[in-house]
Amino acid sequence: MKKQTKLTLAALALLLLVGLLGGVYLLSRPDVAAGTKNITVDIVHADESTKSLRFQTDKEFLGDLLLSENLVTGEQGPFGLYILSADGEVADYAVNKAYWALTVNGEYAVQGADATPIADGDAYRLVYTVG
Amino acid sequence: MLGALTFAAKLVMAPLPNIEPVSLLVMLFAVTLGKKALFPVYVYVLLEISLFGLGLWTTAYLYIWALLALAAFLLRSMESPLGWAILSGLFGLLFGALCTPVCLLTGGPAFALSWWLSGIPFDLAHCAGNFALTLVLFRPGRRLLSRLL
Repeated sequence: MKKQTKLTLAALALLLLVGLLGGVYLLSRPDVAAGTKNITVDIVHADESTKSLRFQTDKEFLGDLLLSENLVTGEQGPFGLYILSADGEVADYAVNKAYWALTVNGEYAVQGADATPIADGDAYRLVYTVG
Repeated sequence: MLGALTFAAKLVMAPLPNIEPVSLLVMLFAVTLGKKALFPVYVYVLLEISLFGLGLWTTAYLYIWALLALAAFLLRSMESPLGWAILSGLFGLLFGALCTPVCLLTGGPAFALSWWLSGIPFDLAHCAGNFALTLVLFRPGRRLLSRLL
């Protein structure tokens, strides 16, 4: 087979794979609830003090809400928003292996805050965690 | 030094969403240095671990970059920038999937699957960024490294 043909086939295969993965994502992505939702957000600091907040929001993803309320700062990592600080407290993994753990209704979130859909009645916790 | 350069280049390009120079550099090291490419690759990985700790993705780094280096080494006779762009794009597209063994070991199959699925948009963007960067820079980068090393 000519080199050019091989390259064309490889490029087509890559495009096909892109389409396939895009389709898998669209079929599997979580339902996003439209409209107003009532939720709670608890921020548990290093000293174990807790700031509890209630929100009525039209936002669809938790990350948007937390950033718009200036509750967190973060940076876009390879896998979405990486929260650096919450309620003014910085968790620096490089210093003491500290990070902000996110839970949704008591379970560890399986994705970053910016990909976590908000559902009515949800309880979110950001917990300063070491190690 | 090449490993440190890779680490510095990644940090410099960190503000650009989903555009990273590491895939390109790892492939360039593999085609110009052969097996010795593993030295700069693992210097880079150690620098990542020393800064960010041994987390989910830094653990995956222990084997992911070596796999890319191996693929590039096996294809080292290929000249076409398009061919290299396809390899780099494919690597970006499969990046999340390649990390799932670590998720599987730490959180089980359900966690690994949901983690991979939720990261697909990042993989798609990673694929596009890798493809474009490699298409433009692979050939001049290879020429430059071959002259320097």
